[in-house]
Amino acid sequence: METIIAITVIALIVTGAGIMVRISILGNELSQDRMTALNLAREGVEAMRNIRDTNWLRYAAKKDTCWNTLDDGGVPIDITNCDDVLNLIEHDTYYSLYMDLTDDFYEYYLKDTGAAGDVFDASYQMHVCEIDNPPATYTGSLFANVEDPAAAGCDEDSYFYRNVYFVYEDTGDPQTSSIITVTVNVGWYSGGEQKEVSLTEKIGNW
Amino acid sequence: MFKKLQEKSGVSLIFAVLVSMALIISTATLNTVIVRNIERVGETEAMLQAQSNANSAFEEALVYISSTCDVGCDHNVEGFDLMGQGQELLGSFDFDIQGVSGYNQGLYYVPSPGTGNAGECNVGVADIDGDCNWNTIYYGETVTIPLYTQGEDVFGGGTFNVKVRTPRCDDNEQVCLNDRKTIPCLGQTYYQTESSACDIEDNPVIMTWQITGERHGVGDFVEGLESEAHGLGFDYRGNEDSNIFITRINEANDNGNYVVLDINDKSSPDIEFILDALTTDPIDYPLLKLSFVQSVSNEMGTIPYLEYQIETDVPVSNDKSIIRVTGYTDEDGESYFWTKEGYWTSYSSSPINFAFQN
Repeated sequence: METIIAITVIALIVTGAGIMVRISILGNELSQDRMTALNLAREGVEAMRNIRDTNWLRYAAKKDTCWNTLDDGGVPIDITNCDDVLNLIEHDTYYSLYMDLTDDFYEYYLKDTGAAGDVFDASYQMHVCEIDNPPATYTGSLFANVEDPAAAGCDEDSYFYRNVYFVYEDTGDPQTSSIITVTVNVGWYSGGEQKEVSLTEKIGNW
Repeated sequence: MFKKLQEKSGVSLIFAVLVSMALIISTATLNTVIVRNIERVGETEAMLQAQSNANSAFEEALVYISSTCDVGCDHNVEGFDLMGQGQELLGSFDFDIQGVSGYNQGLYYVPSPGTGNAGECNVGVADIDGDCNWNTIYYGETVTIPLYTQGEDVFGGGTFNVKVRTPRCDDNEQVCLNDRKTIPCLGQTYYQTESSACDIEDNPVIMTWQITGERHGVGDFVEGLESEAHGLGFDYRGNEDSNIFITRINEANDNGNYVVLDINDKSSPDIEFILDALTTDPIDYPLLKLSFVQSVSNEMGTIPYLEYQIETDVPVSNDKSIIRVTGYTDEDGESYFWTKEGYWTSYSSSPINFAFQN
């Protein structure tokens, strides 16, 4: 009788401990994924700053009006049209933050895929991309949104998704506003559940 | 012994309790670690948003300066809310722009007290000669200081002193003036404070100065006046010479006030005194340009930089707008903040472009 009670007690405790350990492991995984997501969000904000800075340099002659110009699918547009409202980042709009991996230099660009605010849309999915470009200065892998994963050497899908949302300050007019509020949303699946983090930052034209 | 234990009742239960306690302690410890880990990720998220709020404040400050301030201006904003995508409050930020010269003991100074980059102030910011109240200027650099502020168009003051000094002497340096390095005239091994002690060629201009602006609708400027005096078989710089040359810097170091140029100095080309250019018949929107144009050295080697300070009795603009920001956010009842400091300048540039080729 005593042995049975002892075995029962141990079994109960082991079961409880097992459940707790499982929860802990899940919690640990969630922390790791959340940390990764936060860093991807931070990277997204820095990428936006990089796009602004690149526009300043690329369209230096029209720096004040072309700071928020969109590339045409990674291809710089002509400076004569860079301040056309159709070529500017739109107000209250979501974009996919793509990376051009086809050249030796990796350039970010934005594209409105029409997927709107659902960060778990397939067009916002990030991929694991191998970097092994001659002369092999850079090797390794990175998470990136790419338009054509196979062509870019991104054979593996990640379970992270990322989009960028823009709101212009004051007028909401891309041609007159000097500050844009950028929100980078990163989503991921954890145990079948959707998780999401966001980071918001203002970027100005000064 | 083992047999004896087996025979005792309750041993199994005691064993079970001990094993259970060990398991519970291990699991609880693991849980504590994991929970702390989760909390840390939450804190990191809050800190990242606070950092983003500070970055946002910096951007707001830079946009304010570029759109509002033609020259140095001061501006302060507190409690600017940052809204998220769904208009939820993500936190707030403050920013402070200090673009005007600072007040210290009755006069105004560039750099603004406490913001100079020549070093730290050991006895407080109020000490005008403290290193934190002086800026460095390296050989080849130019600094531009607007001698007016936002909303004004002329200098309007009666005191204008340009102060220049050499860096502090090294520990083993023998020849110093007020603990400052000395500069021998070219071809000499010892320093001089009298301009008449060196040939004009051996006493070159170390820093050029120019005040540019507009007068009567046309561009105008004044700069240092060349003046020669004649000795027995050689020429030297005359008393009216208002350039910043070697012996003038040594003399300023020696008397301890470091003033190498003041409002009563003569100027050229067509205006007699700096006083006229700044006050009597003032140049509109006057900009003072100081350039370190002649490399200098002494027995200890090259003197890579000089230190400068501008002293006036009315506010002028700083050579740069100093920006201090703080971003705040709250998470689970805890407050987080992130501070940043930097500066913006639209004037200072180098007159020399260096090209490197491998």
